[in-house]
Amino acid sequence: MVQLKLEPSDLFTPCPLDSLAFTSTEELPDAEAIVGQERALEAIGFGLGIRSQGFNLYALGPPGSGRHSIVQQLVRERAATEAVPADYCYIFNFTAPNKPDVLTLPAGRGGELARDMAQLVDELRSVVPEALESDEYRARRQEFEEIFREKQGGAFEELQANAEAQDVRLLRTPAGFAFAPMQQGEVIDPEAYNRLPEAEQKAIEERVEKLQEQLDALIQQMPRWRREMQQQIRALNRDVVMSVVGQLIGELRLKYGELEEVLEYLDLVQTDIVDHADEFGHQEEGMPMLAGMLMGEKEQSAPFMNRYQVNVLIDNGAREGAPVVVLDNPTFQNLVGTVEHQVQLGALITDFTMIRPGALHEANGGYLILDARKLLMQPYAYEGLMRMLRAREVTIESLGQALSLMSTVSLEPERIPLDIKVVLVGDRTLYYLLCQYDEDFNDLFKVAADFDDQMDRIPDNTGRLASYLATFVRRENLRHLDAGGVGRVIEYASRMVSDAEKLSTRFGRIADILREADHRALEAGNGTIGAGDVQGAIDAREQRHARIRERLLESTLRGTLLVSTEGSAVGQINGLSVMQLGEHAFGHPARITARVRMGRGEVVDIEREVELGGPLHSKGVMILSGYLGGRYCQENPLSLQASLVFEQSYGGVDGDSASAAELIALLSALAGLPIRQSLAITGSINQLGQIQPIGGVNEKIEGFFDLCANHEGGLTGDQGVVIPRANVKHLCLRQDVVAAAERGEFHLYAIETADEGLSLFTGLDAGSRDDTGAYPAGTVNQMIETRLTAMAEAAEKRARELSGR
Amino acid sequence: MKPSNVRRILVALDASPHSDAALQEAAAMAASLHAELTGIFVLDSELLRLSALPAASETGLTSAQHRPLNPESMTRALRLQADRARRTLEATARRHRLEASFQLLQGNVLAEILSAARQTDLLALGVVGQMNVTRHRMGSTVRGVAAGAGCSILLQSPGTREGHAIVAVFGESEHAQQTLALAWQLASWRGAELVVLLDAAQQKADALETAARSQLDASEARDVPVRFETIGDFATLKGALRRLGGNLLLIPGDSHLIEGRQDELCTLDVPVLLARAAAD
Repeated sequence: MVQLKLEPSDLFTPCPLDSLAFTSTEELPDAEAIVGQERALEAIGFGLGIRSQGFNLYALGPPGSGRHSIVQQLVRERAATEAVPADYCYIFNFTAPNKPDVLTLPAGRGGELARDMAQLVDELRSVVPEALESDEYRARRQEFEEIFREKQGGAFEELQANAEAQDVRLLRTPAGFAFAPMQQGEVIDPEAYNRLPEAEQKAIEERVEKLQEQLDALIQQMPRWRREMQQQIRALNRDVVMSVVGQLIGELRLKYGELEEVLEYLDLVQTDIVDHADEFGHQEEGMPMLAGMLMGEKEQSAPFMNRYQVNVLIDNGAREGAPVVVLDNPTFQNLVGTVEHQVQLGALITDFTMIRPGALHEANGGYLILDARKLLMQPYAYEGLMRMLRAREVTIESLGQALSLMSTVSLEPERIPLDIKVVLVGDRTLYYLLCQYDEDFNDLFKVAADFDDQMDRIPDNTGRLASYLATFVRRENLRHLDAGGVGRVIEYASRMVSDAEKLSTRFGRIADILREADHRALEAGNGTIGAGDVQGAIDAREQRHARIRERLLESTLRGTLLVSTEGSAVGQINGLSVMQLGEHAFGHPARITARVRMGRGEVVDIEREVELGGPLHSKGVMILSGYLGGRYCQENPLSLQASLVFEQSYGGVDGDSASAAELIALLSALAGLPIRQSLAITGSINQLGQIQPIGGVNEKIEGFFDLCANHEGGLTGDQGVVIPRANVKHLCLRQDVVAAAERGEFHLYAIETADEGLSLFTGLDAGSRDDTGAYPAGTVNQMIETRLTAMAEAAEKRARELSGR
Repeated sequence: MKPSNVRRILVALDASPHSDAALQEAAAMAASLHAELTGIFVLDSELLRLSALPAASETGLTSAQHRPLNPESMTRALRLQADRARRTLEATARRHRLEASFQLLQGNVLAEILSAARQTDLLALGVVGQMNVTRHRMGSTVRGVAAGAGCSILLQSPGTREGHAIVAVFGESEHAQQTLALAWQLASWRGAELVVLLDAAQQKADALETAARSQLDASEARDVPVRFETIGDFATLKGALRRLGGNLLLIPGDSHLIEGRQDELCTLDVPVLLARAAAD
């Protein structure tokens, strides 16, 4: 017979100090900080290397596995070796001012051009007015004004003379002109006029009317003459301004001679300045407007000159290598950039100088690292990012514009071509959800870097973990660990993944333990972090989360929750459940009971009937019917009605890890055999009666241990836990459990079949069928079969009676 | 040096921008010379008579529209202008802490101004009226006043420059001393530099400078910085003025420099004061 009882050495796999070839991590050199993530590293290397469209990365893995730091480290290393991308500038669009143009320049030239243009504007401010004040300019301007005055004045004087010759005078009235008939050098007296013969009055009126017509014609001519003069003056302004501007811009043309785009821009600037020469001349004349008084004159004159500025969106002048941008707050606007507005007299105004870059601009030509969860939590940020990646262009727009909620005219900056690699860092669930629901995601994020949460516990990996610890304490300026401390950390890394043959790669959590252990070492005055400090940190962490566990334990000890750890009872067994609260899990025993009576072969799961049981639990219970029927009632109908319940469970249970316990309770009830209450059992069962592994084995064992150990009188030496044999490799139990096992006060049994469990609980042989196909008398199975056969016969008899009647 | 005897300043108002500017200059001057300020507005009798004629109409300057005229509307329009002129006068006087009186006259504009000017020491007026469409820079009324008035005349030109210096022409003329005295008094009050332009056309510059210095030395206050420049004709006068950035130009009313050049005074871009010794 197989040895069911486990040796204390099976309960825990210590890290032998002699396997660590050092006394303190101080002796270890700095090592690569990345341990156990070969698959992810390879994927990242590939993802960063390939420049094709859509090969963006998603780094998926559990929190604390170092995804963020590893991704940033690798991306920065790679970016440093790559070319510096171009500068991007926004410039005024002289034909469509609300659609600013983009100027792409070699790195550093953008800032240079912006400074040159600012200087040009400064110079224009003084040079152009100077040119427009020069004697030459004034003389020519006066000439045009003189010509106009000559034309207009001459015509009026001619009209006046013409009128005087006819005894009529042209008078100025408050609002215009009027012709007055004269008499002896004065306007005719109305009475004298009325005395004139009618014919003469009529003649005068006719003369005035004719003159009036001439005056009308003249007044209508005047705007044309004025326009002519203004055109001449404008042409003069152009000539004068052209001569000074041409020279200034000529110097810039030489400087930027090899940049075709800049030359085209300078041409446009020159034409525009010449076309708007008036604006320069009028800068300082007149009273400042209301706006000017509020803002000062400089701001008031600024808007026009703004058009010659260069808004350097991205200045890569001082950069080495490609940019790496980590955006912590990935809102839509932070990603795509924004057009800012200024309040002026209650109105919002903007222009191309108020365009601000987003992370996509800043990372263009390089890498953008985003947290997937944060990105998805920001409204429209993910959707916007995908749209830009697909279009391979960045469009600066507000959310209102993107969603077509705004119809006001605003800036539409020209799109900037996007050449970027995005690395999303997130958990696995999000990755698989995105894969499933977003087709674009599969196209655009073709590379998945899957961070593992565990690695094999082999000497190579423990060595690398030790090197990581050395590097970490140096980086964080913590105390070094002695060999015992390292060993304890390695053991804890196993416990984190509940597997004696594996190590956790969630170094974030290990790092937290180290920081706490360092703090404890400081308080204890230890020069290095020892096993005690590490254990203290682990225990303290456990203790901080232990409130609910302790309440449950207390309730059980005080008899509020009924769990027996001594004696024996029929149809009653100790099952083990695990509670997961956040990152913290603990086990707790629960009483499972079974009752049987005659019936139609049903095993009723009460948890399920009241909807407190999950589907997995129901599955486990249903398997029991299959097992019973197959094992004991191949010839007879299964004529029992059994009910199973998790006593005092009000919050619901799921999982099939209690199915072994339920089977044994059910069989005990069937056979009427009392079973040991000093044992607890966990494990799931299949229809063939084989015991299958379950999760949380360590927590479950410790939960039962705590209950037994805290009972009045302590451990009896009879108590223990029965677990599936397949779970033995997962055992990494607490030191106090291991110690109790070594003292023979607490036992662990590993079973492979239901029969092994039955024997342990009943103390009787389970029994197997002999040559005749019957179970030997006195065995548990025989008792069960007898009972089931009796039930079947009784049921048949009852059925006959019913049909006979 | 005895101070100028400008005690009464008259400003002819016609509610035009130029006359407003003349008012500002006259008020500043009245404040500095402690003189009385009087504004007059003349209701043009010719216009009133014209408006009473049957079938009289006016043509809008910009619109070229014809509107019939009648005495009521004409009187109302002229009185509105007069009101505006009075209000401006009062506001300006308040600003300069002056007492100012306003007279509303009626008659031939030129005749009434000349008549009023007989009772004053200085007459200020804009060089053009409401609308000037002739080739003359100076309006016909102003020309008539400049020729006919016996007092000093302040002509306010358009486009006045923001210079600081008080510029006076000093030469061989009857009103030269009065001109210099007035210029000195204004410069002293305003704390401005006095630039004396020596008109060396008929007399040597040195002799003129000596004469001017002796006149200035006679004054007790020596706080006015004085500078001398020599000119010979109107063109050099114009050049000097632009170079120096003058705020006000004083020329003896009988100077040969301005004979037949009254129209050109308007191109100097500064207010021009044609100084004449007062009748008393």
